[in-house]
Order: sequence, then structure tokens, then C-alpha cells
Amino acid sequence: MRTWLALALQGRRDHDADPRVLRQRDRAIATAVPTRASTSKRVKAWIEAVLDSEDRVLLHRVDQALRGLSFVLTVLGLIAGTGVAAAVFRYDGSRPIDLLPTLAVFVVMPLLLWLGFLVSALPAGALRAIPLLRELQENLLALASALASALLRALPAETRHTLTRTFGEGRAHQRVFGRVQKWMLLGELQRFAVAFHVGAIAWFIGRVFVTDLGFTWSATAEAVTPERLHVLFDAMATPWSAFWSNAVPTLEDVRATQFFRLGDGTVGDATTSGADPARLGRWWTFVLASMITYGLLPRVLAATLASARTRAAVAWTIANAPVARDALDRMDAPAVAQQAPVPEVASAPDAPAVEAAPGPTGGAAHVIVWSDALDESGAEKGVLADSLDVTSISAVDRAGGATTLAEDEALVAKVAASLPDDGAAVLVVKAWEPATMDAIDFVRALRDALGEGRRIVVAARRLNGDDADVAQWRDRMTAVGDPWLRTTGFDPEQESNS
Amino acid sequence: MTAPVFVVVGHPNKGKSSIVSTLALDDTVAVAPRPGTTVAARAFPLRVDDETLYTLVDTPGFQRARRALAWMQEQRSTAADHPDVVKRFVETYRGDDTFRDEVELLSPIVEGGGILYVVDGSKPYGPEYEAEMEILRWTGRPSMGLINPIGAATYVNEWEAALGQYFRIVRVLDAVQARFDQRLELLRAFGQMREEWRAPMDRAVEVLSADRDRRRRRAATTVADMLIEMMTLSVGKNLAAEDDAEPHRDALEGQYKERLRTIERDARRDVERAYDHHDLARQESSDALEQDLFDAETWHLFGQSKWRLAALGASSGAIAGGVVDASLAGLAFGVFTSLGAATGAALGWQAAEWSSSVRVFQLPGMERVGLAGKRVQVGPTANRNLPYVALGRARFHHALVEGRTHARRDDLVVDHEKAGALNRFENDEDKALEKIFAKIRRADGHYDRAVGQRTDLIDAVARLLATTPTLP
Repeated sequence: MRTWLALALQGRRDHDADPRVLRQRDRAIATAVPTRASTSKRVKAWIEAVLDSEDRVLLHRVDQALRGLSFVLTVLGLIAGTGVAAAVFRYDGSRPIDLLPTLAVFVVMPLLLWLGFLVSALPAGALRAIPLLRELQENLLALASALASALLRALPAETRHTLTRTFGEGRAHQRVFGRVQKWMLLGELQRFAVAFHVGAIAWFIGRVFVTDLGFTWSATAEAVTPERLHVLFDAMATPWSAFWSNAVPTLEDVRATQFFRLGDGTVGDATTSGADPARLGRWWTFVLASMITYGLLPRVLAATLASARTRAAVAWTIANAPVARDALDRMDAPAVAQQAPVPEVASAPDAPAVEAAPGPTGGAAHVIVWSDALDESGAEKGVLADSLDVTSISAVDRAGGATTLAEDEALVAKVAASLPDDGAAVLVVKAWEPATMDAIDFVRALRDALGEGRRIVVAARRLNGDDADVAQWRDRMTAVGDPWLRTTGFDPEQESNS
Repeated sequence: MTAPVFVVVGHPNKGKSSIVSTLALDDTVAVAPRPGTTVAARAFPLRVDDETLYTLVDTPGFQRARRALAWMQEQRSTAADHPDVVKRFVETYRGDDTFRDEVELLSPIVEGGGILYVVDGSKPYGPEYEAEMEILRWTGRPSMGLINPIGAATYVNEWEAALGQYFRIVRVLDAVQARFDQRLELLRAFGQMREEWRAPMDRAVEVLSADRDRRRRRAATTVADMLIEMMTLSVGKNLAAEDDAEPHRDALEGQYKERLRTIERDARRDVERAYDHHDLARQESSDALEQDLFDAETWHLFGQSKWRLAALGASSGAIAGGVVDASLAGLAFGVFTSLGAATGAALGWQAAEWSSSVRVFQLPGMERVGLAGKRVQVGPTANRNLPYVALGRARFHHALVEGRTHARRDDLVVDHEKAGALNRFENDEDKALEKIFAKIRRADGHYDRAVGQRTDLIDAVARLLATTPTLP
């Protein structure tokens, strides 16, 4: 039962957990559990390994509450049984105990209720073809459930809360727990019934030993004759007739104990032959045997069946509950993990952007082609001039890519020496290649050589008209923090076509 | 033997992290169009229990490759000394911001890692890459060129020619669109870099294939559980004996439908998690769900046609009737088979109509113990098409999720109108399913009895998912 309840609790936790974590956890548990162990043992080992302390406390409380509930039901059954027996076997010597109502209470009623148990216990599918019985079964189970609810309400608030929470989680997460609940409920009711009959029998035996009980029977209907009753009683006594003959009433006993309402009452054929008072007391053996055979024993059988079915349902649930099956799958499969064990290091934010100051327009441009971004001998050069805010292109040189750092440094010096104050150093780059520190170092070196005020334009050549790449360059160049540095995009193919 | 380490290097923003994200099934790897997203090397070991089969290392891109190469070339050395020079470079500049990224990416290589040099096949080759490739050549480590076309594969041929001069092995893999078998093929190619890496990489491929099967099985389990829960779902309300059930019908139907939606949503999430997609944003119209599940007119997408349902019913009925005929040794001349088929067909045809199955149970005597006198209940559905519609939708969603690489960062768009060929069952797959669905229906809402079909249903769904092509 503990495993079953623990599965209900763990199911919810696992449902919301990261499967990668679950795989690692259960695979680690699997190494400590023999692979040849039964499914049930493996699930139990697993659940004991994963339960956290909070759930352990909860389960302990539920266990205590269930035991308390069983105890309360047992006590209630004993009280009810002795109470009913005290009423039925009330005897002050003035009038004998009526046998037939006694048997109705302790034989007929228990048998009818026992049949109710049988109907409730049958699988729902078995009654599908019998609509009335099916409805009866649903109503009986609903009634049993209502009784259980009423009983729960009688429990202390904390215990009730613990029970309803645990069962509620089980129901909400996996309705597969339903069959256990049915048998638990029926089992507890059988416990009550067994206690009821034990209480009644104990009271009766007690009365037999301290009181001279007298039993008679009577009927208004003429159809109820001593002969017919004897046949019935004889049939009833069949189970014990072989070993307890004193508990089998004879026809003479039946005849002699018929009660007639004449005056204060007359027993048997007293008017003619006088009654034997000993015969009135002899019935106790038959009553006791009937109470045991038709009241107590069927309930003991039912309680045993319910207990066995509860265990079977628990075992079935443990083997079939999705939470258990999933856990076994994780235990059996190798834990494959590919993710990084350490989290990603966040990239540093860009330096604060510096707005480019509006510089002088016009002037000559010294074009520096970075890493073959432009075919400087062809038409692209003309397109570049048109797209830039310059009057002419005074020179075109190459840097980056295949050139050496020394060549780049020489070029920076050359540009600084030749660029007029109103001119612009134009660095043509490939917009689709990111602005590496190599290019940024070059821009910084150029600024250092040019000094403040002179314009540097980064002309990012688009590929397939993609402006997003130009924006990337603009962001990186803005982060350089140079107010005389501007970034623009251009597209030789597109602009020459237009 | 230590497990091979593969260091993914290249120019910034050329899809290195996408490659790693796809191969490691990790959608937490930062992938962005902005360069410099990866600032530190990060290892992604493939672990099977406590054993590491190989490790991928994601690295930042080269930033000052020409300067680094210049430093190395300044060291007087022969070709045989080049690996030591690179080591010296790493040791010299460790902790220095000038070559922070170069040190970060070269460190795992000089420690014994193989090189995966990643370039973007949708952008042209340029001379800025040559310094990087030269540095990598100086390391003397086994290497492979990997072309990852981020977009159109316009320049793949150009890149193959260029990379072929530096790397013995060159492969093409679109990290965003790559199918699972293409990813495995790439891993096998990793093993070709060095003879002693072949065995662990072959084993890694086996492990990953088996792991993929397990993930699919897990997804099938989720879908099967979803179907059982949907087919046994009911919502109800206890009423006093004199209360009229009809006014409660709409509210209960609303609850019933909402619960179905929740069941499907939860199943979607679990299927995605089975494939390690943990933070996937999904675009799926709830209106479409409403239409697919509750509007018989739109069941053309995933539901079975009336004729097909009738045929399935007929085959089930014929089997039942055939048993009777067989027991009579043919004396009934197949009458029971025909009758069974006709009855099954009629039931199948009739059951194609949507019915919300509002039922009222009388509970006599319940008032005395504090319960209402009757119970009005919606569900479990008697409609035969519901599991087919739900399964069809789940199958389409699964195909999208299974085919999705972890390098993708866009929303998962589940547009059921694009299900195409996935909206029908082939090779009588539905016959096997119908047998299971029939048993679940017979459980009449009793989940604990229906769940007895779970294993068979998981098997059937797993077969269906395995034969369904993945979608990019």
C-alpha cells in the first residue's frame, strides 16, 4: 500500500520534472537494484530511492490515518454488533425471544448485504449485459463511497486533509489507481461487517452464559407450519449437522416452541401436553451456528477476498501504472546525455554607442578595400563613388585579408599623410562577414593616424541586398566610440543595374 | 583510451553553435545572428551512463587571426615545430585580452582535440579565412572542413575547393535542416579523421540511434496515454432527483471539450520534451483543435471517412460472425459472418456522427447519505472518429518535432492543413488500431480497464510514428 501511495505522489512530481534529470536519476538508481529482481521489487526499490522527506512524512501520516480508520471501523462495527444483539436478545424472562426476527437480523439481512458485496465486487464488464444489475452495482459503489466520505468527515481535520490530498493526487494524476480504491473501500466495509458479527456473537454468547434465554417462534400465516419450518431449519443446519448435532433442531423442538398469543402467551402444545421449558433454551446452539455460518463466515470470506484483491490491485498498479513503467524504462535504458554540464557564459554587452557627429560633406575619398570586398579596377569603383558623399576617389588601396599587418600599417601612414582635411577615408568591407577585432583594430589605427575630425566611412557592401548585415556593422562601429566614424551600406550590383 | 574531442572552430557567426546545438540536441546553446554570441569554449560530452564517447567543444570565432599567425611566424621554427609554437602562443596569451578568443578556441585543440572548421556555404569564400586555416594547419591536429549553408547553398562548391586545400575531409551539413541520418553520417565522418576515433564514433552512432528509438517510444507512450485518457474521459455533475439535467448540458460539454484540449496540450509538451525541446514556442490554433475534434464537417483532415469507419466496423463484425460460423462447421453457410459484417458496418456508419453522449444516471436513495439523486455526465464519447482525429494530429505534430533540429529558434508552427500525406493511414494500420480502440471503448470510461490496452496501443502508435516521415 505504501508503494502504491508513493507512486501516486511521485507520479505528479515526475510529470513536471525535466526528463533528462529523470533519466540520470533513475539510471543511477538502477545500478543499485539487481536486474533480475521482480518488477515489483524494482519499483519498490526505485520509489524508496526517489521519495523525498516531505513525501515520507506524508506517507507516514497517511499510513497512520488508514490504520486509524480501520481501527475506528472495527470499533464501530463491534459497538453496532453488540448494540443490535442487545436489542434483539433483550430478555427479561417475561416473554421468550422471537426466533424468526432474530434469524432475519443475523442471517437473512447479512446474506442480502453479502450479495450486495458480491455485485459490487464483480467486474463492471461482467454485468454489462444485465442493465439492472449494472445500475445496482454503480449505486452500491456510490453508496459505499458516500459512506466512506461520511466517515472521512468524522476524522480529525489534519488526518482528513492528508488522506484526501494523497488520494486526490493519485486520482488526478493517474486514474489507474481507481481499482485499488474500489477494493480498499470494499475491504474496509468488510472489516466493519466482520466486527459487527463478532460483536453480536460475543454479546450473544455472553448472554447465553449469564441468562437463561428462551426462544420461541410464531407466525400468523397458516402456511408457516412447524413441518415447513423444520425443513428450512434442517437445510440451514446442513453445514454443521455432521459435527454439531445439538445445533440441529428436531421437528419436536419446532413444534414445542411455537408461541400462541393466548392470554399471557402459550407455548407449543402446552394446552394439551404441557411444554418442556428446556426446549426453549435449546435453540441457542442453532442461533449461534446460524450467526457464525451465515453472518460471520461470509463476511470473513469477503474480507479475505477484498484484502487479496486489494493486494492484487496494488501489485497490478505497481506493474502497470505509467509512472512505474516509465521509471523502469529509464532504469533499463542507458542514460544518454549530450548537453553541456556548465551553463553558457553570457556575452558582454556592447560598449555604449556614440552618435556620429555630422561632418563636412564632399571632398576626395581614399578608398581602402578590406579583404577583397571590392573589385577596385572595375565598374564597382564608380558605383561606390556615386553612393558615397564624396566628390572623387583619390586613391584605392587594399588591406586586411591576404595583406600583412606591416602592409596595413604602411597603408595607414600613407592615408594619414595624403588625405586632405575635407577628405574621407573609406573602408570598404563585406557586410556579410562580421566585424572582427582585426578590422576594428585597423579602424582604430586609422583614427589614431588621422587624428580627430577627419572622416572615416565604413562602406559595408551588401550581399543580396541584405540590410541586416549592414546594421551589424553599424552597431559594432558605433560601439567603437568614434564620433567621426560613419557606417553606410552599398550594393554595387543593384546600384549599377538601376 | 580517452574519448575523442572535436573542437568546433571558425570565423565568427558562421554557425558553429548551430552545429553544436544540432549534434548535442541542446536548444540552450546561444544561437544568434549577432556575432560574438559565444564568448567561451563550452564542452558537450556525449555520455552513456558514466562513459563519455566523445566531446564536442563550441568555441568563439577567430578575431585576430592574422595577428596571431604573424606572432607564430615570427617565432623561428621549422614545420615540425609548428604545433609547439601554437602551444606556446596559447600559453603566452592565456589571460591576455588581446587574443582571448584565439586562446579560448586553440586551447582544446592543443590539448588533443580534433578540428571541425565550420564555414557558411551561403556566403562567398574570402582571403580573411586563410590565416585561420593556416593557424589550424600549424596545430598538426586531425581536422575536417564543415560547410554549413546558413540559407541557400550558393557557394558550397567554391568552399569545397578552398577547404580541400587545407582539410583532408570536407563535409556539408545544414545545421538547421539536417535530418537525423545526416547527423549520424557526419558523426561517422568524425571517426574518419583518425583511426582510433573510428570505433568510439561508430559506437556513438549506435547509441544515438538506439536513443532515438527510445525517444520515439516515449513519444508513442505519451500519445497512447493521451488517446486512452481522451477515450475514457467524462465530466459529470450530481443533481437533486427533481433537477432537470438539460440546463447543465452546455456547461458540461464546455468542460469536456476544455479537458480534451488540456490533455492534447499536455501531450504535445511531453512529446517535445521527449526530443529535448524544452522551451519550444508552439503556434497551433485552438480553433483548429475545436474544428478537428468537435466538428464532424472538418474531419476530412485526420478523421476516418464514414465509408472507412463502416469498413472497419464490417471487418470487426465479420470476424465475430466468422467465429460463430466456424463453430457451426459451416452449417450456417456464412450467415453469421454476413450478419456480423452488416451490423458492424451499420454501427460504424452510425458512429461517425458526433455525439457528446450526455447520460443521466439515477442514483436512488442517495439523498439520505448526502448525495444528489442523479448524475448527469458528458462522455466517454461513443464517437469512433475521435481517436483517429487525435492520433492524426499527434502524428503530424510528432513528425514536425522529430524532424526539428535544436539549432532552430523559430516557433514550431503546427499547421494541420499542411499535414499532406500524413492525414491518412496506410497498409491497414487503422485495422490494428481499430481493434485496440474497440477494446478501450468497451471499457466504457473505466480508465483502469482501458489502460490494459496501453502496451498494445503504444506498440501500434510506435509503429505508426516510425513509418511516418519526419518533416523539416
